[in-house]
Amino acid sequence: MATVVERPPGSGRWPSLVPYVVLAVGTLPIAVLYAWLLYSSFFLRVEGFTPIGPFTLENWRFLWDPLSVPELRNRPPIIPLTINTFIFATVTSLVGVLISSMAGYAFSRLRFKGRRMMLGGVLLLHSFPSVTLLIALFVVLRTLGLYDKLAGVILVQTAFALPFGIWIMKGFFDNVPWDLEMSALVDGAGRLRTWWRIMLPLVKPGLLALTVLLFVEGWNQFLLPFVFMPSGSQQTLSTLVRGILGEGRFVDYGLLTAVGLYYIAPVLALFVFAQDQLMRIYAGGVKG
Amino acid sequence: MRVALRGLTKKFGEVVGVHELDLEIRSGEFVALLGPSGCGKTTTLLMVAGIYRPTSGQIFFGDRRIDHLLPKERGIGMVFQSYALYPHMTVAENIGFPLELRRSVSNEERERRVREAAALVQVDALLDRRPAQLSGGQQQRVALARALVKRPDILLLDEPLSNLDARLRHEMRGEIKRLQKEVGITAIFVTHDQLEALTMADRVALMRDGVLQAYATPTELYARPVNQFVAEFIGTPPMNFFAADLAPRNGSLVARTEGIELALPAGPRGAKAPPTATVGIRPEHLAIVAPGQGEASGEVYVVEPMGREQIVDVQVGERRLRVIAPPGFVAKIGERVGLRFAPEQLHLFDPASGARLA
Amino acid sequence: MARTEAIALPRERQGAAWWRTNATALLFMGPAMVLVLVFFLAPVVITFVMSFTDLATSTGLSNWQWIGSANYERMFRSQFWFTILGNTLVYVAIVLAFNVVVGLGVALLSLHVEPKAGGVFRALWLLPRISPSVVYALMWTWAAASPPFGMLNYIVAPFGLEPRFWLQSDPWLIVILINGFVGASFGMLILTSAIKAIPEDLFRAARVDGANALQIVRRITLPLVKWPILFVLVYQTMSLFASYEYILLTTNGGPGLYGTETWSVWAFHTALANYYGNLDFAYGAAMSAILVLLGLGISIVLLRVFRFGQLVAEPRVEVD
Repeated sequence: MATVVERPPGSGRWPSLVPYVVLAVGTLPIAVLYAWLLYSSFFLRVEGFTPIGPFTLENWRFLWDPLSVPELRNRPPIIPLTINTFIFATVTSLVGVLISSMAGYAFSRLRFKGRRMMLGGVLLLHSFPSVTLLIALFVVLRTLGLYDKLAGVILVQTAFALPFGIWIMKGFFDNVPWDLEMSALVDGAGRLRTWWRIMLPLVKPGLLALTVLLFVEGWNQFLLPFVFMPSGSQQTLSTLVRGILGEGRFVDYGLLTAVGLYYIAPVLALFVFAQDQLMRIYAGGVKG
Repeated sequence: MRVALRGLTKKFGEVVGVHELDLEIRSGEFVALLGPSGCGKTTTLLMVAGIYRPTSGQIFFGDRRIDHLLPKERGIGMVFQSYALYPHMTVAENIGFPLELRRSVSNEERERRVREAAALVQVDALLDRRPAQLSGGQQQRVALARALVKRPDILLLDEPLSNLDARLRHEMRGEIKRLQKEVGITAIFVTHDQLEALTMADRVALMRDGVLQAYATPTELYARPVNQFVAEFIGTPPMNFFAADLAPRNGSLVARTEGIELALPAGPRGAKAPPTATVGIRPEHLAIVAPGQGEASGEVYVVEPMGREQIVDVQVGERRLRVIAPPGFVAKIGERVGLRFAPEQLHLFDPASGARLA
Repeated sequence: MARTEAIALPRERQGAAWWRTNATALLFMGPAMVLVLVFFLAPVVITFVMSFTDLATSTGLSNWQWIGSANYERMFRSQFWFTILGNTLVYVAIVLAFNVVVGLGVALLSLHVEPKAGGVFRALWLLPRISPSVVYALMWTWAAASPPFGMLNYIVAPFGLEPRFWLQSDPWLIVILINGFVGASFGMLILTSAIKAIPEDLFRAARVDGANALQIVRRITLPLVKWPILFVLVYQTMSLFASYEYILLTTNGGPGLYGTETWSVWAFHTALANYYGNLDFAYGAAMSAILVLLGLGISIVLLRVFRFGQLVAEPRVEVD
């Protein structure tokens, strides 16, 4: 399945290299960007690809001596921000996965009035551009007293993740044989127990993948914290990076890349760890 | 526990899955629902299990009407075609699952009953394994143990043998039949394989297109099929059929078609015989005789030795008749032979309706 | 037999069974429904309602008034709406083409080369998608930065091009590249799994018949992944019309007045982050309402195209 075309024996050496060359050239911009992010954080100044000055950890001093970094002076300290970001990502992914797997199960396995319509509705929701709702969400959060609070942003982020999560989980549940479900019912289980005891363990790969994906999305989320938590200590890392970047007058790329790398590192680690599962999650999404 | 289906009907939208099915199963009886795929047999089973809701009709267990009850309230055990063992649980956990759901069963009692049920089907040595580590036959046994562990009133089996290889199938056929009698449970099983139905069941319900065709013991089904469909479906190799003209001669009837002339021992019951009929005869009721003898003559088309016997196709005019010949029979392709019909084993069917004439 | 015929089902048992069915569904769907109601449906309604008011920072949440369709009239009387609509259409069209063509290309090529190498390339292409938008934007801002920092200047130097501040001089190039790479990774993911799902026998048969790699792609692969390609097209169209995050983080709609301002960025600026300090919620809501309608329209087309009704199989267990 992986090799679409095996090379016929005797064909020349160079034609088989062409796809590699094309891929490499196409991928080069990405590779260069991330390579720059990495090494630029260890030099005071990088012009183009050329580092100026010796290797240094100076850019990373925000970790142990934040007060000496002028850009960070008027900002919340980075460790609490990291914890905020972690809480935000963890809570949104766990709650999102729980709610998605419940609704996904219902859509996959239960008969109820309006099922078909609601399933279509889930797809429609997915198409609602979040920017269009931001203004109204502002009003909703103000009304609920959740504006400028981490909890409010968590709820909004979870809600935004639902259409995708429900659709993905429904796909995973659809792939569990009906015999198992029927068997559990005949064995005497109710739907809740069938879901918890039989179905959830069987869609574990889906649960894991969705958890990782929602965690990454939560970790990366810039807009919602930026718009709905404009002040205070409850900001996240994204707003910090954006804040430094947005100052504009003098851009200290060394500091920025170090902070950026610090921010992106957990996601990269998770990605290396769960790459196969993440790739697979999209497989169930589109059929037909 | 007696089971009764009354006018049971299931429609999927416009499509009729099962139509007005009436069936009575005696307590302790082993009944097969037999038929080609799409005949409604599995649909019927799933209605009895409570997975499908009947469009109309009623289901009784004993004297109690149960078609409004949930599967878990019906006191049934079920073995699925795929066995439906829970892959993330061990054999012991699988068998114990139905008991786990009952508050009244203590942990100690559950363990004891799991061991009992496992011993009954000889998987007591495998209790710590996972389903993926079991052979097909072992999975089948575990599924049986899980179905029986809660001591249900009725056991349902959906194509229980179709996922096994030929040898295991034979073995499990006997096992399941013995087990059913030993436990004394009322059991219904679904199969598309007439041999399974005949060998295992006390009575066989043969269905086609959602309609019950026949409900009788295996012997009756074989000896007196009520219509051409039943005659065709039961028995291997299948019954030979040919159209013939019926004419009276010397007070009895003669069936005649190209190359064949048969005196019928007793004409179709009823006032007057129809002018034509479909004649059926099983291959085992035909014998090859010397050319010129017997009621038909033709030439050998092909010979398939089976060891214990041989299947010989004989070309008679336009049609081909299949004959079971003894192992010693030797013939070349194209050789002329005669065919002798066992007179008591002829079946006559109405050419239009397929109903049995005599 | 006659005895059993007489037994009828008690009425309330049937009612109870009906209630039970829907109660189970309600239990499973409840949490999702609440969140969707509060954070999706309510905001949509509020957006439309708000677009007929003059709600803004200056009016506050208590002093606003109904002003009918004034916001919509103002929008289409604005001397910029046509520029911004044009920006949006050009942006969507070009980025979409980039997404689909490059995504398909990477999917095909990465499946063509050795499996291990292909996996590495696909992983690299996934990076932009899983990176925080601020960091990803930061990298592009650097690439396009003015001399002596920016990478682009060093790349174009051998071709005799003058070094420049690309975000100022060629903002569209950067906007298209930054969104293009992210979107292409989405196309790559979907199409890779779609191509992998094609039975290997088809390719073997084609090879036995003497087809070369290009012929196989044209005659076998492409026709078989027609639907996934269409899916990527429609889905990305929707996402792009609504997207604004990367534009906001790089050009912020500039340079100058509305240089790279798209409709969604316009709405964002108007309602949530403008230079005048008066956040014009209602006016922004009117702009958003236009986008919601657009999104709805596209989604309905999507559902039609994919014959959604046929995709939804009925559950096979009928009782609860």
